[in-house]
Amino acid sequence: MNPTRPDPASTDQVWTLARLATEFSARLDREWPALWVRGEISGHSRHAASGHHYFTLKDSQAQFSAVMWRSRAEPSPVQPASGMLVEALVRLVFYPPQGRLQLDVQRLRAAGRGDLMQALLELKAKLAAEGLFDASRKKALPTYPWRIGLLTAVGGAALQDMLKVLSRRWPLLRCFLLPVPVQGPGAGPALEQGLRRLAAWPGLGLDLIILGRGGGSFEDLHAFNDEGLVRAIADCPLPVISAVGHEIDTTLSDHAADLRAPTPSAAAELAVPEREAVLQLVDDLGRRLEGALKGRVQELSRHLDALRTHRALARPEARLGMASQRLDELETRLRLRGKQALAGRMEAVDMQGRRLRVALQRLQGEAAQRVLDWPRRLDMPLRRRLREDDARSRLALGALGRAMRGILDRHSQSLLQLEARLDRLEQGRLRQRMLRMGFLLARDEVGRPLATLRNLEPGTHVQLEFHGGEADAQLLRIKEHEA
Amino acid sequence: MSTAPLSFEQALQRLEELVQRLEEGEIGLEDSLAAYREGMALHRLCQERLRKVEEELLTVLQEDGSLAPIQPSGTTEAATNNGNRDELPF
Repeated sequence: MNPTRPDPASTDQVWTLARLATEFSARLDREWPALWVRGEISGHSRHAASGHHYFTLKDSQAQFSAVMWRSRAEPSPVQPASGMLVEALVRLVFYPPQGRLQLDVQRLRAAGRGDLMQALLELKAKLAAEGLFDASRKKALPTYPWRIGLLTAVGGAALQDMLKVLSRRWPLLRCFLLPVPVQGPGAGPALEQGLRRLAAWPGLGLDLIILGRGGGSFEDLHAFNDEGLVRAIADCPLPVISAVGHEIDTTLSDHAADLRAPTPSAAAELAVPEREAVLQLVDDLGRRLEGALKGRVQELSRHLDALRTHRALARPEARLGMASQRLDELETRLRLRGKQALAGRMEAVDMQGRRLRVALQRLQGEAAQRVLDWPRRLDMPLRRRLREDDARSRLALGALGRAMRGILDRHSQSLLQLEARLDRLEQGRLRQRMLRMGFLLARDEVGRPLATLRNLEPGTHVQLEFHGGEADAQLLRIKEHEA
Repeated sequence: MSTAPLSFEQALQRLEELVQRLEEGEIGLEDSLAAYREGMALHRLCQERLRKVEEELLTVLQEDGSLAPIQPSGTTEAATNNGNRDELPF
């Protein structure tokens, strides 16, 4: 039962593969106890349902598949992650279903950063210090691109994903693909050269370039960390969208690009507008254009109406009103005197009032006629028309003002005359009353009233006015009262 | 193809300007009508441009610098032949 080693020459002893696997596993157990190894984790994934961790442990010379069961990973202070340099306590086991040797990781401890990751971080810091990732360097993407350059692998899912989205959203587009390897040795320089060629391709007239590939391991995406490529992206005269891997993957290309899209499909979404939305925008503008014209015409009509009622007429009316009021005041003052003798003059004042009103109404009529004429003259350029009419209104108003001032001046003059006459009449009445009461009015020889004793002496002839008559007299004696 | 005096972007921008100017209402009747006519022409231009669907979505740039239109397997565009190369504007 213990034929530990088959005789290679024997043909009568044929092993099953299962037995070989069992024997081999047993020997590994015996001859390879648990031991510490040092390496870098890559391609790490955690199975969502089981919670087990799968990854590769590698150094520059060799690599092993590795598994860390959930029961061991959960209590571990160090969780496996890609790029991590670790020391692991492992058992070498054989996995028969895939005929594969793998490491069963029992414990894990950090051993500094992985070399690859370390180099990447150093490169990133260097390029950032040079300003390659600065926001100020980022170019704006065109709103409506018509020609897009694609830099990706010809058979990849990334290409199909992008084309599907681009043709659905913006079918006015033409795409130009420069096929390039997106992983493996030499992919970085190939991408760099491809980008420079695509951007400078004669006659292509691209609006922007999308650089992309689907998801993959850290190593798969590593070409997009190539220093030359990153510099080519930063130097590219066209806007560049970088779409590498899945959302969680970030490469230096993403940092240098003008826009980073989480996936190739997302890059396509971000690169082009949706035709339906743009059509809608254009239709909206058309509708607004029509609406604005209608509104403009309505507004102009309203403006005309406003002018008809306000601009030319409101002010003359106000002036007319003021003039009428002044007339009324004058009339009232005249009537208050209640002088029969003034009846004739008042008629004259009424006449003047009527003439004033007629004159004002004529001016008002002219102004109104001009305003009413405007709608008929709408075919002429409106602004000039309004300006002319405005000037005419001002002229008319000026003439109106002058006419009114003239009329009012004349009227005031006659009023002054009337007032002077009133005064004279009142003086006459007063004198009559005084005479009736027995006062006499003395005048000198030429009829001037004698108000003082100055220049009088005995023998001077005076005239005395009585109520109902007068008499000539001679002064006998003159006596001045003490002051 | 791109010999139009006004690009789509320019036409759209001009159209937006005209709409805004009309909406602000600082211009007279004649200028309003002129703006409206120009705007409607631009509106038509934009609509036509948006309806011009490219039949040839993808062109592959060859290593030797030439071009080859290909039929992307993931899309259902109208069939195009390699004979269309002459239509390329360069």
